[in-house]
Amino acid sequence: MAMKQIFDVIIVGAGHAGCEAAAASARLGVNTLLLTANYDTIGQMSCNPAIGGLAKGHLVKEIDALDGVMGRITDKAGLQFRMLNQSKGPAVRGPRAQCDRQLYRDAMRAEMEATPNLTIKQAMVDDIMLNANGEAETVITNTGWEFSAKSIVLTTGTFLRGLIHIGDNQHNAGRAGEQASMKLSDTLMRLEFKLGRLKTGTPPRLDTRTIDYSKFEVQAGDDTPQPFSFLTESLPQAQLPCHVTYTNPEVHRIIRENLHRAPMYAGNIEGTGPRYCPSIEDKVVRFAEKENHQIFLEPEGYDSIEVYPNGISTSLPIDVQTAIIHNIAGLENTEIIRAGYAIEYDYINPTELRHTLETKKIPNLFLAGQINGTTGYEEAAAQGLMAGLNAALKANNKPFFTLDRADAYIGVLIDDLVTRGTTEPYRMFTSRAEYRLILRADNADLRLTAKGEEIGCIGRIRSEKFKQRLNDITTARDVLASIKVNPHTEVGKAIAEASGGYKDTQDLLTILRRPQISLEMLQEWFSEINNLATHAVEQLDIESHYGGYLDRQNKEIENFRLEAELEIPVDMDYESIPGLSREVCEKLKAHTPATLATAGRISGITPAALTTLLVHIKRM
Amino acid sequence: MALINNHIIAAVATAPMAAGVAIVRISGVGAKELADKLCPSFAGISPRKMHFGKLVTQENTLDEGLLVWFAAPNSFTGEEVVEFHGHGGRAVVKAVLDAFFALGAKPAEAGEFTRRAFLNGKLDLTQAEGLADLVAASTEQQRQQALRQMGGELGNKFEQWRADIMHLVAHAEAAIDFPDEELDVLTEAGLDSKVDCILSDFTIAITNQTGQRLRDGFIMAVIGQPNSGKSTLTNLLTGRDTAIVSPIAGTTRDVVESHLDIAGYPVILADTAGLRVASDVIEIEGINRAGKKAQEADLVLLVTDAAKWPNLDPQVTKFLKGKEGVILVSKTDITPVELPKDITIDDIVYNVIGVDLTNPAALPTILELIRAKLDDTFANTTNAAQLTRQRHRQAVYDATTHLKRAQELLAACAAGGSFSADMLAQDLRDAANAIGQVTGRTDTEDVLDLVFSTFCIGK
Repeated sequence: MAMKQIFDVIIVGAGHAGCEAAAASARLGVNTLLLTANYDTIGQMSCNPAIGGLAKGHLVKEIDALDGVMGRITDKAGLQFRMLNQSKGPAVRGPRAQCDRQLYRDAMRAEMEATPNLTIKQAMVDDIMLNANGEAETVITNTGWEFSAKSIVLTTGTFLRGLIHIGDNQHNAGRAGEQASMKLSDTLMRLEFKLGRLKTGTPPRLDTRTIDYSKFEVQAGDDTPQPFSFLTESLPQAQLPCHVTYTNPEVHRIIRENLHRAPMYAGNIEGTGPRYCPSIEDKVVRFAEKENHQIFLEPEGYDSIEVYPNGISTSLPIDVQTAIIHNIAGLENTEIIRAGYAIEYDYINPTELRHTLETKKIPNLFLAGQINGTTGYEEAAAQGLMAGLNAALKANNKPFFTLDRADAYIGVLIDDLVTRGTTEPYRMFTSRAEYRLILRADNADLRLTAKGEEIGCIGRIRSEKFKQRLNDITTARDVLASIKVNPHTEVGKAIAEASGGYKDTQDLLTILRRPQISLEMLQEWFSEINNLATHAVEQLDIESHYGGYLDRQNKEIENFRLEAELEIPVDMDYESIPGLSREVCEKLKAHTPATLATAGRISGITPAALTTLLVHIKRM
Repeated sequence: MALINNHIIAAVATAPMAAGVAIVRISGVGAKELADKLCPSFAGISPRKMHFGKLVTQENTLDEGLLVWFAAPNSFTGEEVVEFHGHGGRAVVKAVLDAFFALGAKPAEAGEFTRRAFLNGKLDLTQAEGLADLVAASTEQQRQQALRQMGGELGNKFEQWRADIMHLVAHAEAAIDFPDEELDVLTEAGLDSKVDCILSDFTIAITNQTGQRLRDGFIMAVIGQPNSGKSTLTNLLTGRDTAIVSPIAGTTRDVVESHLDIAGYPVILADTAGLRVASDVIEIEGINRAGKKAQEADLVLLVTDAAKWPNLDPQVTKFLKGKEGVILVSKTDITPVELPKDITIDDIVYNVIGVDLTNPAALPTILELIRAKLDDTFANTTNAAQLTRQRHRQAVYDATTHLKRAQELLAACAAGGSFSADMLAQDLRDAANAIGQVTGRTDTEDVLDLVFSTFCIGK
């Protein structure tokens, strides 16, 4: 007789999506179970040892603003912090941190263990059973344990029928050295989900003791490293450097000669790989005219002898991998510790989901992470957070929590997934965000923390800190608005000279909008500004910097929200709407968009079709 | 206009008047089935094949003629379409239509076939506009322009602009999203010169009004002192008594417009009130209107009495300012004068001809002069797509505003300032969206496709 325990929410999988989901659910005070196939690899970074980057860094900031864990853990485990695009404008700055893989894992497990309302168990889920109403209720594991709950969140990563390729060697695994989940796919097919196949890859890991670092460029971290979390006051560790080297024509020749032995080119891989994270063999083929490609040598940790050569992900046979490494400057005598590989896994097209990340077919079943066709730790964690929150809210019979494209990158990510689906591993880019100038890393808390407070997912410490921040900004705004500058005074003349003149007395907020006037200049002229909180003045500086751009985007957001308010009934009979072409009808039926704004994001929905739909909804 | 319907619509596609042949068009899902009911022998005929048959109802035979059908989406509307080419008598057409209506078809509203074609993606907005213009074209040049636009020439031009800007967007976005990739997008891509290039294209397109002129008509204003013969000229050009002609000065008090076809160009001829110091309220208003019309005009015909030559009233010549024009010296039969070939006023050269407007023999000379001016004006229209509507002009104008800001940001960067990639990308996106308003929209997915196909990206 199987033993059965009852929880409010069950999270299946303890990677980046699973941990974030578990923490979010537990934060809302519901009794949460986190199931992992291996207790030792909770929070494992399977691929590169880094968190953040462009758009991904934005996601981490947003997760943190909703009191998630990823940002804080990164701050604990980081060994090098860099702000990318520092000089290209505040909205496109991307925080990124190299991490100590072991520290990250340890910190994440400790965080999970210390989370109230959270139980962790090691067991592989083989099956999901529905109740009489057709709702997900019980998970069956390979241990004999059975658990039931009001909501279940699946975060299977690359484990669903994971298949590793190294040359023509193949074996089933969830990632190198770990068991794949072979049975759960059958469950999902039985529940009539359509499964697809995706592929991703990883480079070989190198022995640092056999690397000649004298031949590389050094890439150091920032002089003043900035933490991810709004809560982190200071970073615990000293920073380590990364190094840069390059492939060369000889390496490319070796790859070309052995192309037929790459599983992708030999036709052994059916899954689609990511275009933005191509294997080195892909790069050599697609950009044949390029004579070299960058390789970033990233240390895996303070105590680790492993090095991650970012840029040469490959699934070529091990002898070819060795030849490639040995023909790269500085790596002539380098030993490979773990082979690079490609991995294929099952995913469910995310158009099966609602914006809450609950599946449309099976109530109470939520999906997050790579099972939804995404790639990346941050994308996974962002979905984990939202799925965990909504699973818990549903368990408590409370209204769902969603973010839209104007709220957050999280909103863009989920909206893209559920309205358009994906056929390749989906990665976040800042270019996917229409309102990029507003969705900045620096204001993630200002955009989201208050929303989080409304649903109760923000802890006391963060709430207090946030209140302080809002106060600081209000004070700073008041002070800058109260300082009026007369153009005939000495300072007024200096400002006029620097920025092309002005007639009437203006306050400092207005003056700061002038592109030629910087915060530093004002700080020099008006000493009272220096008493204000730095973060607050910086915030005002950024807002002034964008000036009219923000005004315009806010206007666009107004229009977007108007469209988003126009709800389309779930049972809308598209066939009966006069004037919709058959193709448009089919697409709308397949996607069942919740609002007009969502309908507009479905590819192939023409502006004319939208207008027709709009008129129809308004007439209903 | 009412909502688009998805029921079957039917209407006569040819002009609603008695004619040799009339075409009745039926469109919508099941159109063929309706036709089969009226003409059983039509059943089983494959699409795009003419079939000779009789349309019969239970009561009587309606007509005999040719039937053809087009399967969706390969038809004008993108739906299933049937056409009956029958006899053009009004009663015949009515009987045929009534039979289709009795079977459930609804009368098509004005423009509904085209609207369906648009909604079904058979035409983009510029092509739909072109089609409307083609149907409305009354002169040869208008017909040619509308046909080019319907063929997608204007749409293609906008699409090309959008593609060009999207290419710039891709560069800016790549610089933002892939900072580690050593992409020297600014200098390598020569963004600034490409922006300059598109901007100069825009400037030409906005400045060049000929496309819109060709669609709306070339305005030719006749001005001059009272009783100089303006209305006589108008009547000579229109070939009828368009304007009242009398020896009483101030006869024409309002602007009288007539539409002419001169060498295939649509011309709006505006006869105006004589220009003088007047006291009558109505006449003053007429003179004001004359002045306004002269300002709008593409060509000014200044008529002056030979008796006054070579004195030109400054009250009249002030309306020539900056305008193309011709000076017609009238009543040379009464006062023969020696005339120069042309004279220069404010640096513009005006042809001068002496005419006796009462003699129809004067007409060819005048027409020849006007035609030369028209040929000059429209010389470019056949080479490149023209903006034919205000909507197009506004889109290009908006895009210009955004591109100019992008240009400033690039210049600041080149001068050693910071590279505001965020704002640059925003302005370029906004420019692409403005252009996209005319034909279609821009999608972030398009941008990423471009980025990935242009750059070797990814670690």
